Amino acid sequence: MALLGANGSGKSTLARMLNGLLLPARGTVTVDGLATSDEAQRHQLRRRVQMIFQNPENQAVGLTPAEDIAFGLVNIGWPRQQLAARIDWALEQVGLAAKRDRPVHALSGGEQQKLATAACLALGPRWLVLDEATAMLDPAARWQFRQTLDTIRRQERLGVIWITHHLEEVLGADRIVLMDGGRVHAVGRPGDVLGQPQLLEQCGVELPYLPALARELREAGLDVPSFPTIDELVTTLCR
Amino acid sequence: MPVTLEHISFSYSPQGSGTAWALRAVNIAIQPGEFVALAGRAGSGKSTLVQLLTGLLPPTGGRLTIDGVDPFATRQPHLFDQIGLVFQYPEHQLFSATVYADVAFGPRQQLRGRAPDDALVRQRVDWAMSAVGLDLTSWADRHPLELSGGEKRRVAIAGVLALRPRLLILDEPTAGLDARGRRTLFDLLHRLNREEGVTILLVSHRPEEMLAHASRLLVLDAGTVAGDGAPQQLLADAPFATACGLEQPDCLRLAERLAAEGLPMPERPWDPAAVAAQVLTRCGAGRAQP
Repeated sequence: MALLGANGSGKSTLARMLNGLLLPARGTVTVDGLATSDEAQRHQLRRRVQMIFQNPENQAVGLTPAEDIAFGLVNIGWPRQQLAARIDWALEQVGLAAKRDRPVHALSGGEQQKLATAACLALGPRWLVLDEATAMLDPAARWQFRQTLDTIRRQERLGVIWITHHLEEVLGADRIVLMDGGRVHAVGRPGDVLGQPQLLEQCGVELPYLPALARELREAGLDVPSFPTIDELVTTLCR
Repeated sequence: MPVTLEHISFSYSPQGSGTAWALRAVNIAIQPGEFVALAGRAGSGKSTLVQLLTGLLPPTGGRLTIDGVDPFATRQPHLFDQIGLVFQYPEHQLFSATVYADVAFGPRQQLRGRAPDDALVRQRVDWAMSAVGLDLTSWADRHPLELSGGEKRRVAIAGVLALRPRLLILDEPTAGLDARGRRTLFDLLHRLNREEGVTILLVSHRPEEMLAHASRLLVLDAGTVAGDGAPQQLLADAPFATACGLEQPDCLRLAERLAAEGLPMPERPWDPAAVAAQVLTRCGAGRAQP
């Protein structure tokens, strides 16, 4: 599920409610039947709902990837003799096995985000919440991180909540929640939500180039899909 | 104030021992009033170049001049005062208890000893805040950490502008900003560029940004200048763009396909409204009318 909206729309606040980092002033949040307000269950809740934040550089606590992943595992009482195997498994999942004992600061931004993902995965979550986790990565690293995450999501059957204000990142989502001013303005499949360019603009979300052009052409009466490919545009324009 | 790099090299290893050059034989001249984009994949030397231009690193070889003078050879580090740097995520560096104190920090340091009077500092802060579109009277006493992300970034940029730089370097200033925030920022940069004559050097990962805003694009690859020219020309060269780790923007890919079908390259190809208007008048006007 993608959470889409401009800066200050309430995306991050909502995300922080999912594992009880913030509690609602009114209403309740439950995850897999666990209420976030129930302190007795919060420990279990946080294992189930793991979060990855924007800045790759301030999420690691260990000096090496192995140490970093061990930190979380030791905290939840993972059996000592099974630590190494779990660390290796988690690093394997994100493709960082070769960097197991390298200094964390020598990893690239994309690799540091993969490490943050591995540290979360090791704890066996059911949900991953990514709060603009690709915002600080360059285009190549951003794309690669998304691929890695997608593979893991399918293999581990995780629920992923992907927060962004880049529309092009959410085209493949099962569902999109569009937020503005602390309210949910639309929920639905990408085709339903993204087919309302006016609503997106109102919510401060910019259409990528091709849909923006399609919108102009549609308004002029041309028959173009809302989210066209380059081929479709060429066909329409040169017909 | 022209800034030139003549045959500049830089290595992070101790002199002579390193074979890994972060920059190799770089020649760049930046003229006053230019709006330049700097691009290249991670590790291509962009950050090193920025740190050389701001005097944070001395070149290992070659010569840098500001206004024709080499600040290292002539021991005039204050020449670098004319070059302002907005780091990536500058809002992480706000540190004072009030917005006023944060923006005033730079000019206070710069004017220390020369002009002890607070009026001059206040004048600088006032100008910088209004340049970023924030009214000083209502913002001066607020705590920087209670501002929104976009507001923080504007305050952080005001802190650099208060030094009245002639060349303003920004390291990915739109990262993490939404569409509205990006528009506001670029309006500001163009205003500074046009009205105050401030030279802009913009480190960017977004080809659309380079196309729409810069008149010149510098592309670094493996520590050398791989390209220096009009953004549209460089980015339209698909093999070149790919080799340098740049994404070819959809607008140019579309324009290229249309050109192959005999439609001329639209003016302002990055602007969907402009492209639609041109395409419609040329080939779709008859059909567009109901």
